[in-house]
Amino acid sequence: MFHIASIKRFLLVAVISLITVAWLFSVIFNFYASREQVEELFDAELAQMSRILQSVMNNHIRSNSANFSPSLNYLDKELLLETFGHQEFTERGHKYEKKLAFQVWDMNGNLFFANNSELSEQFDNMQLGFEDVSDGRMSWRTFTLQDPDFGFWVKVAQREDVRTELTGQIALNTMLPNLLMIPVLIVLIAWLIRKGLHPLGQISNALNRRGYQNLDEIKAEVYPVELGYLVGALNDLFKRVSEASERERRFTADAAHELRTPLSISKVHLQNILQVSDSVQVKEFVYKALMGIDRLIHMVQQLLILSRLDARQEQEAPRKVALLPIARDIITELEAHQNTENKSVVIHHQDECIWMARETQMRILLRNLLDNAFRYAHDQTQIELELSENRIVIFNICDPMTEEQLAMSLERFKRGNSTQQGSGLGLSICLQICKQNNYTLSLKNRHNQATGLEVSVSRNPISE
Amino acid sequence: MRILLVEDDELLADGIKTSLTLANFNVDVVHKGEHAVHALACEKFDLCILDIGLPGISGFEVVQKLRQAQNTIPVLMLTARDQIEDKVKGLDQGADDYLLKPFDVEELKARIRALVRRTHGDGSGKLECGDVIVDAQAFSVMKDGQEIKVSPKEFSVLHELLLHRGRVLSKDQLTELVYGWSEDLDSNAIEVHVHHLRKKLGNDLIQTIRGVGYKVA
Repeated sequence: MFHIASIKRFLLVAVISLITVAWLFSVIFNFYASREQVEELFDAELAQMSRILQSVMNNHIRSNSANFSPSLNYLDKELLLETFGHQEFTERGHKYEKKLAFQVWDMNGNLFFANNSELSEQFDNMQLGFEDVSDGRMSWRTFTLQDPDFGFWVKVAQREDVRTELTGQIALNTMLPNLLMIPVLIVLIAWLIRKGLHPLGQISNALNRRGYQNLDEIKAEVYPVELGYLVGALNDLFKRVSEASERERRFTADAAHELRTPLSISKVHLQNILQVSDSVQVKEFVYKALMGIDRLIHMVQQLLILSRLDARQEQEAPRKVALLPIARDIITELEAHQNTENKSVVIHHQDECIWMARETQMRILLRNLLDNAFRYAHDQTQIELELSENRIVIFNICDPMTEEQLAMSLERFKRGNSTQQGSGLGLSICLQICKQNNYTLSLKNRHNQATGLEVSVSRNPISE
Repeated sequence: MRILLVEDDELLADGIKTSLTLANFNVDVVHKGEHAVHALACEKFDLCILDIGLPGISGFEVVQKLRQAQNTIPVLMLTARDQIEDKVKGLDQGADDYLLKPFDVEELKARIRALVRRTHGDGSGKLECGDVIVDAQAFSVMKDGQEIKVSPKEFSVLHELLLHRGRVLSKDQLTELVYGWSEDLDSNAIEVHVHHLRKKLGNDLIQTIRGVGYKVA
């Protein structure tokens, strides 16, 4: 299948090639046709001149003017140059006069008269009609006729080189406009193709510029009929995808929102049982049920965050965000809400670490990463948080993960260690934030003083 | 302390009421915004816990109407809406605090105590009158540095009188604040509690304003 990489280039090359080939064909045809026509014209002139000369001679013989001596005096070469210079003709004649030769022979082969030409004055092989004659030095086109009344021969000749030069010039002159038209035509065709494909380019640029989440309709500009259908179909598709996406988002948000009240009911009543029950066993069961409820609450919260990320990104513009105070806030918050007594965080940082970013997303990102570190870090260990201008690295000592676990950990509802509480959404949310901001999220096992997991977020140079 | 809980979900309202009653709060429940506006206009409460998504008029409108009627009762909004805009709107319209569902009962109780402290006390959570100190958080009454044992209802009567120090509270008002709507009680219950308190704390603390009610000077 023929592959077209660029419609514009394809059309330019194809149209210009076709036009050039057609033009070449036309030029060659015209050249030969013109030359043939001009040759025929010259031949006709030769014949006509012969007939005039024959007629003059015939009349002269009839009037018995034996002393007839035609005086065809040509200017000599030097005078010719002096007279005409670079002009082709003046009132005294034409500089090509000597390129024409006339010879009149009597029926016995005696030269009756001839003009001062370089045509061979040989009577041998006299043939009637047209003939191409060459004496090795010069070629001539001749026309010969014999007077039917008195039998004298008239030969009129024209130099081939002059004929060829004139024929060539005439043919070339017919080609010249075409020759000049070609570059103009190429420029015009290129402009027309560019102009014709401009709306397509506009749509292409508009689609290329938009972010992967942008499902806005393509602006209603006046598009050609052919593209109007395409734009209409694309806008219809965008609208349907946007509606479907919005429905999905709303469903998740509504479901998560509606879950809050039943979760509250369960939690409050379970806490009431804890309050009133004297049975240690009942308290233990209720405590476990409360842990389940808390895990569900965490998952609902994460689902809500996930469903709102897209909308938040559209609402919030990137600005300078200091990561250090945010990280400190989150650590304080996590230490207050989680059982983190045996774990601590040490922060390595350069100044306040200011990133051009969306603050809400950076909070969610750092919170989820630190929350995971607290969840999975071994007791009595230190979590390391490294903040720099282009990178966030969190390291916690934990059991090493297999390659399969590392790959799966970024998928939704997959938890690195299934015995830990969590929604399995934390890293998926981080990944989505990273994708939206052109950051790179990576996980790897680190083996230095202790084995653990290193999670890093790197800012690419074009992220801002 | 009398609390009006405005929550349309009966199961949740029941759970919260149980939790707060166990913590010696007197809780009355209504399920609609209109009922809340009426109850707050007609009766005395120390605090209102208000859900936003109510049938009829919303929690936002309830708090707006309250503030328009110059009612300064502390309002704690309790809602499933976690958007910043909702929080800002609720607080701007006159709510004093905002708690997101699902919540921890201990956090709810702490926020109630904090709100009452901010409204009535010096911020420490302790109410003092002479040598008597009432600590709502510790649920304790101290006199001359000695802890005095009081029943939950006696504590509530004393706490309400101290919260409204300098003002006379009628028997009916005290009954509403301590018992709310739900309990059947003896018409002399308040008099009995005051009598016991005087026996434990001395006769000078609670004054009887004849024909009107009681007050702590």
